[in-house]
Amino acid sequence: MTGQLSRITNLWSKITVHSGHHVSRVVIESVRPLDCRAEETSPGRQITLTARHARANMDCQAIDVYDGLVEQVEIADDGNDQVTIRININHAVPWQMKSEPGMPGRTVLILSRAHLPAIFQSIILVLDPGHGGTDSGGRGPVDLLEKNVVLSMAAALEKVFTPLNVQIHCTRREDRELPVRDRYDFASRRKAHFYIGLHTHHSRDENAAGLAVYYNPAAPGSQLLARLAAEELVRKIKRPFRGISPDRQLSPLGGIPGITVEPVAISNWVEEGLLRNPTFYDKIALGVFNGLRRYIIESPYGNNARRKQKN
Amino acid sequence: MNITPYYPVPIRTHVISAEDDIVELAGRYTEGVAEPGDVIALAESVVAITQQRAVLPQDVRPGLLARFLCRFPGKHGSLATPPAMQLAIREVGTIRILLGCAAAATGRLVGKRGLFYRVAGQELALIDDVAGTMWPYEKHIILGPRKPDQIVDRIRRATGADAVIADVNDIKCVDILAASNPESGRIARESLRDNPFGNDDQQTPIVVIKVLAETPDRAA
Repeated sequence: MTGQLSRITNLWSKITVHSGHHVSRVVIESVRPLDCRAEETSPGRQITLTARHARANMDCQAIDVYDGLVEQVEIADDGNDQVTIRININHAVPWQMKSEPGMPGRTVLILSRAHLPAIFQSIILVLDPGHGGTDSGGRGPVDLLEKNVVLSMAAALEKVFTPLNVQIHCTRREDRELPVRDRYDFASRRKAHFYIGLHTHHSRDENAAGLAVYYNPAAPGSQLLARLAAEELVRKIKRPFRGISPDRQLSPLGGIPGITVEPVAISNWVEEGLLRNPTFYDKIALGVFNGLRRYIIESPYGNNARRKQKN
Repeated sequence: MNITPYYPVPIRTHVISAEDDIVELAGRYTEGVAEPGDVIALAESVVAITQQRAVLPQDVRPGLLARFLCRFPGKHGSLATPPAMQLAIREVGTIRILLGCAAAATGRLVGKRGLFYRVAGQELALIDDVAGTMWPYEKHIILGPRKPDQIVDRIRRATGADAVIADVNDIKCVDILAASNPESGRIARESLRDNPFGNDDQQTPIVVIKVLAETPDRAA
């Protein structure tokens, strides 16, 4: 092996299941085992790993994670054979560090996500993939149809929310027509705490692109929910932002905080291409999840929803 | 226990641009990691980006022929947009493209695939259409790299390790564009099947394939 230094080559993060529980795994890869210690330098906000006799061969820019617990990971090489890795988190959680020998060797920080089900417990969420049946919605310049890609978005959202004890109700799971009014009645009958409509933008202008979120003007808090969802979606999917605005079509939802998310424009060549990548749907789902998580924690309206669910 | 003595070590890089020199980058990122006997593998799209081969579709004016021909490749293929087809015409010329189309049509009749690229030029298979490359190049069409043989030779001379340029996808297809020797090509073909370059935002376009005599343990 070259020299005596540990060479840090890569850093990545993933949500996974560890001993039956969902965790965030932050993995640092190196070509020698790291001589490393970890401490919570700012409780509930930052965990710092300090590796001695190490150098960072990898790029040292901050890495965006935004998985609902881990926000960013920063790595700094001090030039004196010491590398500092700061993991920024948004909640105080139990964590542990372990080493996995091999080539590359892995130093793994395992952070519990056990607090998240408590935040979302018994929340009733209605997902409404738009269009369906003979109503195809927007059409991509190559071949994708809006009515199909929104079903994939709903499936990705369901995958994120189901382990958190959220009660998910989908207005449709297959290719069938559904009148708009029936969708809102569906949400009312299910006593939804939140409604999320899923669409894509489409335009004759093939340069039109990016993310927009619309909200139910009849429900207090919907505007805030739209803003938080948009902020988090932009961070995850890195698309241009077309803004948030009220949508009176959502008013029949009454007091249910509701938003319609258009993550991309299907009529745009590039964004239709993005919709072919399965991991893009996971990013959309995590963006919406982060927005809803922040809404429930940070806003008085979100706290109301939590109170209602307990009653 | 892993029976293969080859261990891919992906290296996370900055977002590589046309300002970068790929040989200097390979040397800098693999310093202290790659040794003689190891293989430095580079993703072909990143090599192309450093050669200013990333083109914005709005900078291409597709002609009638490109607009017509782009309807025929598979919808999920690389030449499904008029700008990408126009760039293909620019790369190999109209005649080769038309001959390739004739071969592809014949191939459809006799149930044989891949004849378009065999006749028009395998380099066209390296074109990544819009959204085919990770952020921030998703808006670009990326052409295949130029003179890959010269690049791997320069990297071998600069680092002492062998080098390959590879095109890898997620269905375990590894296409070696250039290798500093045949053995390094074989090692790369075997080691890169799980696509350590990544298909999303892993940002690991350089992979050092460690060739070890001993098998390191890997915890579960």
